[in-house]
Amino acid sequence: MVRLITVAREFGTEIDFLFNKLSKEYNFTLLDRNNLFPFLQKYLGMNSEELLLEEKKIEKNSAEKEFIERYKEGIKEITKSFLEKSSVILLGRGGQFLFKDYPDSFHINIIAPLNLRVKNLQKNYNLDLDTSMKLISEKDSARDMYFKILFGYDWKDPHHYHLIINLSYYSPEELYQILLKSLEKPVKVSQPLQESFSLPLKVRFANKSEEEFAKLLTFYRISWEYEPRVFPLEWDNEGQVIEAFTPDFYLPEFDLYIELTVQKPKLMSEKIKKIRKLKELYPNINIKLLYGNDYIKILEKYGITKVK
Amino acid sequence: MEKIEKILFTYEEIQERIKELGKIISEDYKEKNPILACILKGAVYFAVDLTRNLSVPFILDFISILSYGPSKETYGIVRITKDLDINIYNKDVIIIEDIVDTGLSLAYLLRVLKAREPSSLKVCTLLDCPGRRIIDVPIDYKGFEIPNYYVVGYGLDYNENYRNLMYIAVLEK
Repeated sequence: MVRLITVAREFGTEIDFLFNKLSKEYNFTLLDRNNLFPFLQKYLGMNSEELLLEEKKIEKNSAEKEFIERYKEGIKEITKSFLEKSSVILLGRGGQFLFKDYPDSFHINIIAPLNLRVKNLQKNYNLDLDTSMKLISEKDSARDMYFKILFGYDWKDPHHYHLIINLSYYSPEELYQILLKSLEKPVKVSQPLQESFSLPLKVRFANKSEEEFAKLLTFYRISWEYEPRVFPLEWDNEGQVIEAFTPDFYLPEFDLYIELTVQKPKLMSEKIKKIRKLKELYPNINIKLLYGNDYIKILEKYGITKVK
Repeated sequence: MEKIEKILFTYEEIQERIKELGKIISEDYKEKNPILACILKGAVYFAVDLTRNLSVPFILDFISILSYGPSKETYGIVRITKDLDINIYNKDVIIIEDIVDTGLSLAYLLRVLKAREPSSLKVCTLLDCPGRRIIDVPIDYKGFEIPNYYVVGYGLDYNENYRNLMYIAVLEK
């Protein structure tokens, strides 16, 4: 289960709305620059102008080392305090470095070719081509500096991410689907799906009650094998098996053998003796006996009354 | 129509036990907002009274699966006939059952709901009938354990009858 998603993205990818959507639909707390800012002010004991000024200094490589450390620590601690309450999407702020080894974290980088980023800026902010190009160039440099100063890493290095997506190929909707798929940790379903579920072919049951039981298990999509194993119970001096027991069903998913009977009490006591012997010889075998009225009541529950 | 043989649990006994269950669940789910997945139709009465005894916020939702019956096709297979409306991914879920007996339908539901990756998945049943158990399923909260009786009332039916009884009773053979 993913607890923290960190998102790096190139300036002009204009993709934050997707993470906003993801946070709403899957109950993540979205932390971006804007909503982290007031918490950071408080943590660092600064007003907004002072903090803005210090952030600018980072991008110009003129911030003091002590401030840089407190600034990083602030982002990390604030994010952690949110993580105690819910899962978090952290947009930017060097989350991929601050939470590099954080358990259940997922680090994403979204990139796009220059022409697409320019197009996005022109469309979204009515900027002309030259201004868009200039802005992207400035922001790219500032971002490179920001990460180098704060963490000493090249943020474009693919090794920092679990997933890198280039928007030159994927639409935002496709990207969203990729994100959802990436965040799912596929569960191995040992039970076959409905389409692939099938009964063993042409099983010859010893009696009607066994057949009904097989139908019941099949209905509830529980795999079963009919009399798959013979358990020797007694041997003669030459090693020949002289007594054995074959449980009616084996349910592999539950590692469970089931013996069922609607026999007369005298025959049932023979069976009970055999099962006792079986448990002594094979203590690790998990076996359940469904017998007499108890078994009939189970079948009656499902409206099956004519079993002999 | 079959007759009632005896009353197993009176209305007062049921309410008293549900009150206790509500208290335990409220304690266990403090600071959480559990989703109560009520299994239709039998568990409705229980779920309603249970929610009235919870002191934590919760979301009530309903799910229904096809039950096995003699009229089904030989190779018919269980399926969800009414799914939960809410997405349970990363949520705390409590399945609300009226009775756990064979464990077959509950085992199916647990498998289906687990695959949706809830944060936690627990089972709360009003009645537990271990004498009929085929598949061992985990039960986290239970109202009463009963012998291998066929019981009706308080949501449990026989051919759709008796659900509205205020008590739980054993049917005459």
